[in-house]
Amino acid sequence: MRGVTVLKEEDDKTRTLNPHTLMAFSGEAGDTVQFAEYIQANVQLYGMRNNSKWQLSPSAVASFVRRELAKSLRSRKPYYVNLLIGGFDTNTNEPHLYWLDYLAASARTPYSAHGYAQYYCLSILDKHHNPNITLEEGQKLLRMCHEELVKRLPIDYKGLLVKVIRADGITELEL
Amino acid sequence: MSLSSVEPLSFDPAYSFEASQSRDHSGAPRQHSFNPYTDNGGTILGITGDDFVVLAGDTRHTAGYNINSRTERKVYRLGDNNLILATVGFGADSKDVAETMTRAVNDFKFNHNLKNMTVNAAAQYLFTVLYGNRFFPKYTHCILAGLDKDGKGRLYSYDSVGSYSKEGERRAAAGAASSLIVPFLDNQVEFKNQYLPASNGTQERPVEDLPKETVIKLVKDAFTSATERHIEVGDGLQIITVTKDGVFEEMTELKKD
Amino acid sequence: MSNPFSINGGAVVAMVGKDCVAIACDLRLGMQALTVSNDFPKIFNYGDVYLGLTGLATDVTTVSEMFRYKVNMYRLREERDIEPETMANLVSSSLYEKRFGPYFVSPVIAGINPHSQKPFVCGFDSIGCIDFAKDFIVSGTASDQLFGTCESLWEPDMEPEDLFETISQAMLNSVDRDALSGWGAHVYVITKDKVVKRLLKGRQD
Repeated sequence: MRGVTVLKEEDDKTRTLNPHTLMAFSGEAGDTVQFAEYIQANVQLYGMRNNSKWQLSPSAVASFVRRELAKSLRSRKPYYVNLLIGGFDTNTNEPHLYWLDYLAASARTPYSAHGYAQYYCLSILDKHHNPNITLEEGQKLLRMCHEELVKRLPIDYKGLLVKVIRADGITELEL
Repeated sequence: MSLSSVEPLSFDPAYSFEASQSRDHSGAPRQHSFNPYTDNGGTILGITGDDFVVLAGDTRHTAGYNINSRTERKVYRLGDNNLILATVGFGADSKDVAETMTRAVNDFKFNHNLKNMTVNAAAQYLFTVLYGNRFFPKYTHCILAGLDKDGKGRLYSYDSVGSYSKEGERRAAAGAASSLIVPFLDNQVEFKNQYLPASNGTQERPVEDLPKETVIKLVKDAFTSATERHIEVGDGLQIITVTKDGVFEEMTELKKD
Repeated sequence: MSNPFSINGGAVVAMVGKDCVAIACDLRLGMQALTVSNDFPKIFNYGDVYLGLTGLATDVTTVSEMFRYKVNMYRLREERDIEPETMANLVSSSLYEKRFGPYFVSPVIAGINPHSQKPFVCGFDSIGCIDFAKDFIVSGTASDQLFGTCESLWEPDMEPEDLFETISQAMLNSVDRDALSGWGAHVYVITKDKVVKRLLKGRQD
């Protein structure tokens, strides 16, 4: 979107950082993709410099991204980017989700959102999420969130792009 | 504490006649303004028991960093009955409200065959007085207290435009150090965050009416603590207690630094 | 609400007892009125020293990581753990280094000196001015409330069990009157040969 004009209906606002880590972003136009691809390049560079089987863990990626964003915050022109970093830690077999805002505040959360979705979806997730949730239940929950956004947002909502991160990698998912 | 403390605090009392930013020499008309309010500091506090009620206030009166008086009382008896009122905020408005209430209570008595105004009637009247000034509010927070028909202690607290609860409250605090005192009262009067030891944190400690001696102790503790940590609180402590036997005033010292 | 000290919210308090100290923090992380996380501890451990940080969440993390680095470097150079008093001066000078572009944090230190066995607490403003206290230190968006409860509940020479109850009641009742703090708390009770960490549930609103 630019102003009130819809420029593209299916814009992928995620970047794959390494085989088990995905980053979703929102924020100022320009800043978002620039920052995301800078992070993507550097995380991939790490993978190339080391053994390709020895990738950064999700917590390490989140820590790196936070640091870069924190450095940017006190620079002449800070990036205005809000992020969600999802990853599957192949060492501990644990899923991770990190919430980061443009101030580089970072928190590991069971579920999170940015922008208006916070106000519409977090309460739904508070009520229905549980720590041992299955993928099917997760999809159902996302559908509930999606329906709420379509119902309550006063814009022609163009839908969600859903990606799943599992032990065997990242795949796109139809809701 | 935090960076905000690096900025210099204003030394001016807030009420003022001032010519705002008129230092330009363009010949444009100066804009004058008048701020009719100031904050004179101080804190008030009230706690009810089963058959008594206590209102207390410190006796320091400030303007900015200046102390105007160390002996200015802010808990008032409303005529010769069991009604008491504590007011805090802008001193002039506070006194005016207390005076208005005293006159109303006295008028009521003389117009109703020497019958005293009930505490709930006084509470409703105070709302009328404060809300009557809705568009030029009296800059004052009030706590009204007294004994009801059944001899039970009643306490009402108000914001500057008159909002209050008809059910009354068990305890209330207002003024400069209310943010310090209120959580202490939550804990010690309503037993918030306290659980029965045998219940392993599953059963809340039931709220009960406190004896008068305990209440007076809590009041003095609250004010010595507030005096220690808030510059606008101190000098003296005025405690007025209403029981079936009458109205009693106790004056004690607080730190003067 | 553009004050960086009150965007994310949070509260920390430390208290001295008889041969023991305690330090507690709340767990909320928010963006203005919206709560984002209820598991964001604000106390960090560096050997014998415990550091509590309130203020802007990004700086809480940055500063805690900076001191992890500095304390590790100290340990390698000196071949011993840093003492609480030394840590206080390290925190002070590190914050003053950023005098004209500060980290927006209000740190609190608690610990027992491993040599003298003396309990130690102190607090700082965001540019490193140390507040040495004999009794307690408060910081964060609930600091007014904490001053009130601590000044009323604290007494000298409390045993560890009493100190735990006092600091917990001071913390819980204070954050319940602050919209930007709460959602549970961590409490550390530190004695010369033992540290007990407890999780307080508290109100979830």
